[in-house]
Amino acid sequence: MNDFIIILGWIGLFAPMALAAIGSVIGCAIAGQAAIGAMLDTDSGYGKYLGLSAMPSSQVIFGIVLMFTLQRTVTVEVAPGLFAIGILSGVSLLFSAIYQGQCCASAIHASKAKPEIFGLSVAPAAIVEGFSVFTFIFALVLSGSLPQSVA
Amino acid sequence: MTQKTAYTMLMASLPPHPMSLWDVKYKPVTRLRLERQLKLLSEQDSQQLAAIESILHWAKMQEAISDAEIATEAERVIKSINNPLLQEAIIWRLELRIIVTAIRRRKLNRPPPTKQEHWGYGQVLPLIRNNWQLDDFGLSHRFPWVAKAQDLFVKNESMELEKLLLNLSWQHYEQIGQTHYFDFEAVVLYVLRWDIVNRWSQCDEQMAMLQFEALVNRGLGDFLQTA
Repeated sequence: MNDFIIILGWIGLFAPMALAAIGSVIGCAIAGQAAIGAMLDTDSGYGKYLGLSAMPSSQVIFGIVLMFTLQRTVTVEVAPGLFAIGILSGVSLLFSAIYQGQCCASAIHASKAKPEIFGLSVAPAAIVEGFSVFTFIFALVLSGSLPQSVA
Repeated sequence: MTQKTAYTMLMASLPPHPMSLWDVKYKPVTRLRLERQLKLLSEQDSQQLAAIESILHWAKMQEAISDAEIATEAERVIKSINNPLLQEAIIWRLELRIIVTAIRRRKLNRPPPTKQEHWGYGQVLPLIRNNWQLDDFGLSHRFPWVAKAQDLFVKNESMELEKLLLNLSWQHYEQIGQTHYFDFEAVVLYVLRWDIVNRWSQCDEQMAMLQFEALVNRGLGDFLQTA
């Protein structure tokens, strides 16, 4: 039983990084495809489309920082905490990256037709980003309450 | 997830349609370019789109095809499509057509279609048959535009009637596509709306040609008379 709990701890330790990376891959791919599509239909503004399509990559950075913050000797005492914080923050980052990718794709699609709304069209993606920042910050706060190592 | 955003690049590469059909000054994209972009569709989706267009687009229908054959083909296409939204889009348009056909048929003093007659597709067929004597065929609750269409038909205002019908289809496609941006449904609805724009722009083109011809005739009037 203890071995199983230790395994869960390790899963929780790597989960924020792995799940956020999966989310960023999907989010960036969706927004990237929209950016490429928009480039076929426009003669300028390529840079801003590409820049916007990279927005969902922030989640993987949050995931990496969380992983290093959670890193400690995995024991039976800390493993449940690592698992809970790691998995839940990872899932949250995963979904926020995917949906942020969709927001970015819509922003690219809309601003292609009306370049003047580019700034406003990014707002929904920024709001989604805000929720992933919440996850990141509070996971950091909670990880501070986990013991570093128990002898 | 993949299915929901499968055609992100395709949809993002197409210029958006205007909010209103009457704002259209020219087609947002040429058919040639549209066809080129549609090559991004999978083989199966491409065939489905072609099948949908073949029953909704007059120009793509075979000439001298009877009403019964059109209805049979529509039924076959609808059954082959495993997508409720697209089925609804097709049925809605076919029902619109069948109502207009009924109005036209009644104006020509032809009798109501018999039960055995295979003259269209849709749930409105028995309603039309049973309410043949009513102005709106008893359909106003579901299709509020029927009375207006009937009125325009009686007054022989064919241009206004055409505008009404095109606008109805335009708005319906816009409405049902509101939650679809980067999927196959969005692609199909884009193409169907493109067909409407194309048809409307051709209407204008024909009118322009007639006006041009009239101007030329007026200008050449004296020469033509002396020749």
